[in-house]
Amino acid sequence: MPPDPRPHRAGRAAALRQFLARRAKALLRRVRGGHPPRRPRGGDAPGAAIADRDAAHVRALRARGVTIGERCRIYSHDFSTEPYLITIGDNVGIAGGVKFLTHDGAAHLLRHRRAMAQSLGRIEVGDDCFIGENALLLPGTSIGRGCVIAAGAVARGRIPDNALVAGNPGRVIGRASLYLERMLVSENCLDSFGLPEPARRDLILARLAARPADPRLAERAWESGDG
Amino acid sequence: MADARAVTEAVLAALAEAGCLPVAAIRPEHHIRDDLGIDSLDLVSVVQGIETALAIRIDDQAMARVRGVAELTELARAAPRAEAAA
Repeated sequence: MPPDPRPHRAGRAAALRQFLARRAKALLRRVRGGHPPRRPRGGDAPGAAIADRDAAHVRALRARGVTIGERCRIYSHDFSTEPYLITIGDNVGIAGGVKFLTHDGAAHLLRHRRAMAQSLGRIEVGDDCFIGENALLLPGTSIGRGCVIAAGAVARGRIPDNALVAGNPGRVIGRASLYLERMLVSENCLDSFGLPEPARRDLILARLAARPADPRLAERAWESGDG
Repeated sequence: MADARAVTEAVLAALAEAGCLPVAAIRPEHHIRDDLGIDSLDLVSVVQGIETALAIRIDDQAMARVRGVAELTELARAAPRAEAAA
């Protein structure tokens, strides 16, 4: 039999067969009750499964060189090409799509004069901060303690403690503590975090579905970004 | 404690800017979110503007309960000077 002229395809097909066989075995085990459902390491405490998942992601980022404090929830995967220049404090939440940029690509235009030129900068995030969905943190950014960076904001330079930053270019529009105090007593702030999904859904629908949708809230969906 | 007229003017100016409204359209009985369309993000900016204009410091927890224009004006009127609150 002549050799397969497309060996990469043959390898891919074999890998697919193995994958499907593993999935079929796992499905059979579940149907027959062979294995009990996986339980989170943190037991049945609210949010235990979420905490386990978050911890795994933090461990992976630390392995890539990012310095990360304790009790952080990180959903972003974009930690630049120099993750070892990024430092994150304790109790920091980072939503999905947040981009850390530790270099300035404009150095490309210098390379006819300095062939290996790169412009780099550290990024530091203080304790007790939240970075909203799709925010961009530029090289040299230093965020103080207790800050909230709004979704989509472009943060740069030194940001003082307790700042609420929004917009592009990002600017301090007020105190994060005031924003959080109002959130705490808002009718849209529910005790739903970490509940099993059916109970969480029921609670949310019971509290929010009965009220007519507020178009202004839909327009200002920047507040989301944290589960 | 700031001058009553200056406080009213500063509050109306900050709300008008945040809500893109004429000052004359804002009434004391208006609800800040429902009537003026100013959300939580805008309101943080409103408070910052009032504090800067009057050199006062508005308490975060007291501000969290404010819903109407009259309440905000009253809170700003009673707020201490910024240096005294620091």
